[in-house]
Amino acid sequence: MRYHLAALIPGICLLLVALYILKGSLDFIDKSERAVGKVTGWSESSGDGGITYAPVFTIVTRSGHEIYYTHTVTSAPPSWEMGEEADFLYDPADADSARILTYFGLFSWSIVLLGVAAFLITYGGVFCMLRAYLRPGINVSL
Amino acid sequence: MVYLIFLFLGTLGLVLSIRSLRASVDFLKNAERATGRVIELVESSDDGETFYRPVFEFTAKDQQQYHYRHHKSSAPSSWEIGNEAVFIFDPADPGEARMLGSAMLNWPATALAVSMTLLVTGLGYVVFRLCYPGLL
Repeated sequence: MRYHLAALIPGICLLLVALYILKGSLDFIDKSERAVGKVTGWSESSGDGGITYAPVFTIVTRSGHEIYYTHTVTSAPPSWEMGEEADFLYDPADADSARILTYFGLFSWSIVLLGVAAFLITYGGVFCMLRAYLRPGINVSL
Repeated sequence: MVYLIFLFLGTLGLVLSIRSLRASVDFLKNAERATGRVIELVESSDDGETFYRPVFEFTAKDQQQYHYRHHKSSAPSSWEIGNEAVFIFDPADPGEARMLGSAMLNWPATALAVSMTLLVTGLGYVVFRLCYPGLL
């Protein structure tokens, strides 16, 4: 009966980490500027399935600096074409901070960790709440 | 769009899994319970190894004796003759008894947890769109 705690406790820890990362992402959005990036090349990586390609975007900031952003998703053949555009957010004080302007691009780890935390907390919470019903020989009502 | 599908599936899953969980809880609350004892270990062979499946006997309130054959066999046997376990069953149908344990809630709890994951992911997207209109 203790394994519900093995789900609940890591779930709460992951929730706290997810909220911390989420706060960082929201702070980033508040202080960032928007810019358009263009695919100017590909980054190749080789694995068991052969060579895959990640688009490399060149983003020109308001101050005229260029930021290079390599997409985290690779594919074969490339899913982006040369010159294709996407929106980005970047922190003017930190040129390496650019993130692609999609929901997952902005909150990737928060989304993943919140999802896992929701699973663990719900699963552990159900057994925590209903443990009295699982005791032999006891008639209970919550 | 995929997040709205998550939201829809999460909401649907939440409703269905809560209904399933409620049915399981109602069963746990109202069903009859009886202690059963291992009376036999049924042997079976697979790849030269002998597996043992316990058969329990319990007595319901109607004083009839019922047998429960465990769905899991193991080698070596994880049960011994005389070991006890609690069984839960509908008084009208003791032949369909189940062993009392957290495994009874595994499926509804897993379904609820998956639904909550989908719901949180989808709801996060909707909240983000409402808080930052025009950003995406």
